[in-house]
Amino acid sequence: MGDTRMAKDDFKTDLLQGTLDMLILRVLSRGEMHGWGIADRIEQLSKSVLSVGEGSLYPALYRLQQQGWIESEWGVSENNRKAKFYRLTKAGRRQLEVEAETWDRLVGAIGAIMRLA
Amino acid sequence: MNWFNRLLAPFRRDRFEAEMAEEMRLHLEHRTQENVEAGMSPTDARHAALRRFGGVDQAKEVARAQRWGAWVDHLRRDTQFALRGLARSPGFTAVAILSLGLGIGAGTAIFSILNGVLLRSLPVRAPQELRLVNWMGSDVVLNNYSGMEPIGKRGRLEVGSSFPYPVFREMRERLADSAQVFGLFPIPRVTTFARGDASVSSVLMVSGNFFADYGASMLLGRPLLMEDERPGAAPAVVITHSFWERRFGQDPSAIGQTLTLNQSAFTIVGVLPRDYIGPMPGDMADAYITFAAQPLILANRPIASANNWWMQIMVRVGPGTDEQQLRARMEAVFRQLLSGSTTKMGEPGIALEDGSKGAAHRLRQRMAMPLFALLGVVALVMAIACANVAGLLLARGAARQQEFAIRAAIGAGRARLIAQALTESLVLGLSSAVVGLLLAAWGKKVLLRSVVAQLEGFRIDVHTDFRVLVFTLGLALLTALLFGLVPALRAGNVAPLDGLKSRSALAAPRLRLGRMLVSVQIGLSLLLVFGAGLLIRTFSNLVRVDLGFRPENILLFRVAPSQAGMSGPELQPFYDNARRAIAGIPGVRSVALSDVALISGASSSTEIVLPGRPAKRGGARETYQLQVSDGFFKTMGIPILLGREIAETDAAGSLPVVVVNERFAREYFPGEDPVGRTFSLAGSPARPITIVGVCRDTKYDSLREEVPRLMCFSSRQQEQRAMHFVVRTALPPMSLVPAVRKEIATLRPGLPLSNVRTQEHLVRESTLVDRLFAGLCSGLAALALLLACVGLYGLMAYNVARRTGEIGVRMALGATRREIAWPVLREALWLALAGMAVGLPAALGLARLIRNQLYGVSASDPLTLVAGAALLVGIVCAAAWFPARRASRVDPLIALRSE
Repeated sequence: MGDTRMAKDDFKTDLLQGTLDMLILRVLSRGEMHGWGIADRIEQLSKSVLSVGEGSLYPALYRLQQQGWIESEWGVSENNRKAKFYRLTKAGRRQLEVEAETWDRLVGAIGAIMRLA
Repeated sequence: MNWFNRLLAPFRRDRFEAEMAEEMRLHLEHRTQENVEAGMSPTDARHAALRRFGGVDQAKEVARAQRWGAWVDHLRRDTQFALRGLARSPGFTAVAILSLGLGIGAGTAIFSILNGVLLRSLPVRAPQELRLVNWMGSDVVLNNYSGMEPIGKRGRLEVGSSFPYPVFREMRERLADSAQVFGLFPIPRVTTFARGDASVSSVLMVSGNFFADYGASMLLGRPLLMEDERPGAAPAVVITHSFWERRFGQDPSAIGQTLTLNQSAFTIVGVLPRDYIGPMPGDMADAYITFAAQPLILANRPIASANNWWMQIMVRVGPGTDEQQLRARMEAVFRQLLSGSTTKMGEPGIALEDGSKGAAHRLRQRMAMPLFALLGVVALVMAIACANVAGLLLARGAARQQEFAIRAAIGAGRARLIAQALTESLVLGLSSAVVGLLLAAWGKKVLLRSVVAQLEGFRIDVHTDFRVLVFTLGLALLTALLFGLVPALRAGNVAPLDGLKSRSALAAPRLRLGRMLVSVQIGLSLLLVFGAGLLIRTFSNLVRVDLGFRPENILLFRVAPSQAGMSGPELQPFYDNARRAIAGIPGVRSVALSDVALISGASSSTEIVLPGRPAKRGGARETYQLQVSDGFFKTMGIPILLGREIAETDAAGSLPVVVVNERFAREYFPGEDPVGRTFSLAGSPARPITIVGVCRDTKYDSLREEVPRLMCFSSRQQEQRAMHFVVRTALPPMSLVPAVRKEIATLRPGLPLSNVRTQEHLVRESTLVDRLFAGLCSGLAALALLLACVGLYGLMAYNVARRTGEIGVRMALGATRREIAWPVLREALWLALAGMAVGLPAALGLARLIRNQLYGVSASDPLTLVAGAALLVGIVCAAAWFPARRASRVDPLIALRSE
């Protein structure tokens, strides 16, 4: 009984993960930012991605950092709080371009199919 | 993060954890502050922040799982967890490790020996360069062929590994520019005499370039050299470390001393190191001499003859040598020399074979056959053990479903759950491997002693090398995967919500797979029980076989006076004197001689011609023979049925006589009195031989062979170069050996006794392999039964525990104890029947594979089959009895209250 449900969950998680990664890169492309700032920006952009909770942002940040696409540094926030700031690396900028391009191609392809079908 | 940080990541867990905790704390603090500023109370503000964040621990767990090097933590934690879990159920752990360990141990022990016999490369320089040289040909007519291996078949062609010496000499000379060709020939029995002490040794005769090209160094002195092989060279001998130890007490001054081989003096020039291993399988050689010693030691194998095929050729092929070209050149030499000999061979060719494991490859393969059979049996037991442990794990997994559900609920992914369950299996598998290696260290010694004990000095290197370790670890991992995978996948399938349900609401699964596993175990057990039954019956048939003589209290030994320099007219008086001297020893009843000891595996046969009765077409009159002294039949306890036995008066000058056995009389003289009739040997038709008596049928060379047509000649009527003494004693036979040795030494100093043993020992030895197989298979079958029992018991006990509530209800409603217990027993019986239904045809099929091992029982023996099945059913009932009884004793009140 657990089988089908697990599979669906896994799929949903994968989809969310990919979207989340891309959104983080996009948000950081405008300059460095701390965790809750990123969360705020993403919520403005898309209501559903963080619906599971802001906490899921952090595993994604660590994952991207491990990949070498973003880097982090402790600093002080606008309202004088200690915070960890994230910023895009060169590799991250390249990755964002690649993802955007892939996305465009995918959207184009789906659009073509939808028109043909 | 650069590669350096990535590399260090596994070791920076604490920093990672601290930073993560701090960052999340700050995040929550900020949101709480925001909420307070928006007008919420501090408590509400914090709750709202937490809700918006989602599960803190879940987020942390996901972050941990995707870290580089997270697997190190996971492995460490899973291992700790598995160890703790296993320690908590010591019964389960002990059964699992012991059953797997026994299987792995047996497999490793057998594989170690197989490795030594078949797989291990020789410990010489670049063994992969060594090749064995074989000839191939069609329609082969060879006059004089002998060697380590009989001529084999390869498709249409015949294949052999023995060559005449001139072929070897030419190959070595003409190919010297591209390869090193060397030759060898084992001589099993040579009388060695050194420091006043005589014994019988095995000697390897080699070419002068042997040590250089085989690739062995010396511990002391020098190797044999090409000069030593020149005709007329001073006889030189190299001895092995064990011979040096036995005969010279490791005295370095042995170099330069004289070692007498069959009456010829050889100078010891070198001692081989302890770890040296020669090229023959089992390497029994004590000493090495060159082919130049042939006239002294091996008169019947003239090295100059191109028609006498006896020695083996090996070649070392240096790197970069064109092997095809080398083979073609060897073939050219071979063909040229063949044309000058009397041998007829069509399409003569040369084939090179891998020589890195040593000479006589086909002999090695034959020696390994029983080991392969045993490995097959072990594989069956391992399969049962795997099914058993898998069943136990499934039941355990069912009991721990809630635990897994909780772990899933607090954020463990499916992969993590599976990995964790598999870690437990791997810990079990590796622990079993350790137990197995320990058991194997002991088991291989027992196995070696019982398989090859009769071959004194038989050396096989069975130490645990890399290959054995890989085998053991591979076996452990494979079994761990086999028994662990399905339960692990089950564990990964748990739904997180189930963890929140109460235990009773959690329906315990019915373990359909567990039932199947138990059936499989019972089916496989039937296979083993049936096989063991057949082998036990074979062994007991062999033990009870009617020998036709009385084997108890008979001492046997062989003496070869010809090797001590006696010949012709000296021989018979020596035998007579020796018999008289031994007969005078207190405790000796009678003494006789025979050329071959009975039931020793040795035989000798010839064809006979019956006057006026041409042999039927295709029916050659092959007849087995013995040369015996007077008193032989009385000493052996063989009754004479007609006529008389061989007498002292049947001497060289008198009428050639023979005593034949019942089968001879029945088949060659049906319905007649054979006494007084004559026949002749196919080789000398003009010399009639008179039958003077008929003796009872006796087993001849082995217990398995049926009684052959046998004729016993008077040993006085032919020259006997060596004889077996047959001594019937009133005391334990071996206790007389020192006295016998003394008498022989007095008669002829330096003449050794060889093959000293009792007739009973020979009989026992001939059933050694049968006993070993019957013993091992019964042991393994018992283990299989025990495992199947444990598996069945576990399943039934689980089922009863699972249905305690239901049973309670039924009892409360008035069900009798019998009505409760019977379904449990019935289920067990159904499982057993299902297993046996599958096992039965498999058992019959597999039994056909061991047909040749059986004696006096057919491979489809119904009695053994029924007995095996009955044993299984009995054991199944016994295993199911306890859970059934527990079910019938369920107290309805307690059962219902626990719901």
